[in-house]
Amino acid sequence: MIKIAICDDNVVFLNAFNQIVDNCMRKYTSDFDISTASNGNLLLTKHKKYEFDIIFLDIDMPNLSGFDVARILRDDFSRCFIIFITNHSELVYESLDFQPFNFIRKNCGIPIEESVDKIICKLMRHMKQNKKIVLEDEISGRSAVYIKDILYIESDKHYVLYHVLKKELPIKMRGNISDLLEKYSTYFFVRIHKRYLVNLRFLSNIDNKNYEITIGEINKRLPMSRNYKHEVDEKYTMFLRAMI
Amino acid sequence: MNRVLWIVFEIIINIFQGFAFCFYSYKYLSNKGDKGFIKSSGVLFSFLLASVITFFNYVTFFEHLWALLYSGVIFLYAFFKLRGSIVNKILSSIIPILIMIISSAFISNFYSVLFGMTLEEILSQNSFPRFIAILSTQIMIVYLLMISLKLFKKNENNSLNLKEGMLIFSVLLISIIISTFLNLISLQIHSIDERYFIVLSFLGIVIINILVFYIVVDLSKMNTAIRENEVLKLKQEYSQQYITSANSQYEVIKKLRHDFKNNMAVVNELIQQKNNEKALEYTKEYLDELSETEPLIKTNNDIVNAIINSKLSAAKTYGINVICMCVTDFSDINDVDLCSLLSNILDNAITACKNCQIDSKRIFINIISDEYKYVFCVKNSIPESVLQHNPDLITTKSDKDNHGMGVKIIRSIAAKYDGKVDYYEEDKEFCCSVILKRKL
Repeated sequence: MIKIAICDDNVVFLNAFNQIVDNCMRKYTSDFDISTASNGNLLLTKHKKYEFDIIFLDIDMPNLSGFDVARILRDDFSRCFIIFITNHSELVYESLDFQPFNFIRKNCGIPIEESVDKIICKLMRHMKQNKKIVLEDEISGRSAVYIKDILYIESDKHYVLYHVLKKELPIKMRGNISDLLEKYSTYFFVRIHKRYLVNLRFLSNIDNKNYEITIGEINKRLPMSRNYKHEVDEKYTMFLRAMI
Repeated sequence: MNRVLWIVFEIIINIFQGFAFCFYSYKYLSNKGDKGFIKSSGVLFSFLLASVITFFNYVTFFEHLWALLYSGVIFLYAFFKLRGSIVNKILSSIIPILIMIISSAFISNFYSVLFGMTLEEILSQNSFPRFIAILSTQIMIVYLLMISLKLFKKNENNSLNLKEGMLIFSVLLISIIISTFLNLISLQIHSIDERYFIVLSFLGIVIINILVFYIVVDLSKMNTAIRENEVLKLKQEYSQQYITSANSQYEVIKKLRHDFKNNMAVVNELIQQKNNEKALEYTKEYLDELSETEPLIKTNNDIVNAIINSKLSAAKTYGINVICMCVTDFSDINDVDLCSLLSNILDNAITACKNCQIDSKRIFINIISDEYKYVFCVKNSIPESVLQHNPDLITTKSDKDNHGMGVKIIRSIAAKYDGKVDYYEEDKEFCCSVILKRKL
């Protein structure tokens, strides 16, 4: 289920936009839900309850502006995708505050449908990881984990360790990393070493000199084998192409 | 008694040289705020060097190629204890030894001419001329070391690039070889005239080295000055544009305010007449007009503001619709690089976009950053695939000398920041994405 929110103080626009997003989404899936909010506070309350994956957010709103909302979302370590809606053709933001996915212009030459279509096409690639898998071990028991929350997978003899975001201990399961590679390569994972499989979403830096990669989210460095370097480079480039 | 004094004297001289050379390397490489000479084990390496020198003085009475070993010791010190690039470390260990060889050869030849003695006599007899020769050699070494420090001292503003460094380095290397050969020759000749020639040749080598250094440093300074001037000129030009566009914005706003009352009156009138369609049409027109006010981005970096805004207005005059999403901070990227990177990427996009025959010409600028990197992504609409026909992106303009540099410049800047350039196409858009890594 992809949870989408739209927040705009102009109710007429809000409804029209809801329809546009709905139409675009239907091209890809029917497993989605759109909520609307007419102000920032309402959106934040709803977000606490539903944890949206995608938020379309108007910048010019009274009291709490779109930027303020984005900042609060970011402070809560929410990793939803924010798409701003604005009257302007330019958007300058403080990257420390938030990282918008894109923005949509009202009242410009380009029809809104077209912009939304393009953005949703890109978003759907991100949503590919929005799928739950069941992991199980003695310590944490059975738990359903989003693929998007898996940082990296480490092999340890006959076991594999799933390092998951916000979980202190990795989940240890029986398995073979080569088999997993096949399964996860469709979900933007890349093999950097005979022992590691990394989620490209969390790959922040490739250090070509020291043969290391960095996972920024948890500030962790992992070794990269020379044999896989070329492939890592290529996969990372293709990932950026698909995402930016 | 006399012999003991001589040995003590020689050891003192060797210790002095050890300190002088290590201290030179330290001075050459250290910057403000670095560890002191003593803390960076300078004393230890000085004594090590002094003992190496003493040992080889017993093995051979003129140093020749053994001097390379001295360089080795200094290099070890520089390599393990000091900071700086490898080129600079090598230079800092070779220069003092070269100076030592040249000065001792020069001085001993000079005195052998002066006292009418052979070189062997000057170098081996424990006599007054030898004493004077050794002392004046040390004075000359210190003097030359000081001059070369003044010349070479690497400072942030006019540090030499690799090419310039290599140029000086190779002249130095050739000088070492020539002076070694001259030394070997000078040991075998006895006529005073020939000795004069040798002395003059040494003098010539010293002067050539100093001159080459001056020329390279001077050229490098001039080059930086020219580059800096260009950026300043650009900055000024852009700030001028910024002022003009701010003024025109002000004019537009003034006019809008003035028009606002009239427009509202018209709409009011139309609605009162229940002419809703006309009123809607009128307001739509007005909205379009409003959204046409020139876009202006404002980041914390003047260069980025200036370049993007001027390219935005340029694109606008060609009827290109530009959308720009951009971060505010551009720390860690040098202004000159930022300037040439952005202007080249945007110029390429505008040139590609303005001439194509499509209904909606669009450019999308997206600049994002995180703790580790910047990504500059510029996309422009294209009527047909470019990469299929021209995968290496060779210029299509006729004047190939002045065009087609853009792609090269972009690649070289990306390489400088250990980044990457990626050209690709998606959905009738040509995309150029450049990754620059932040200094970690």
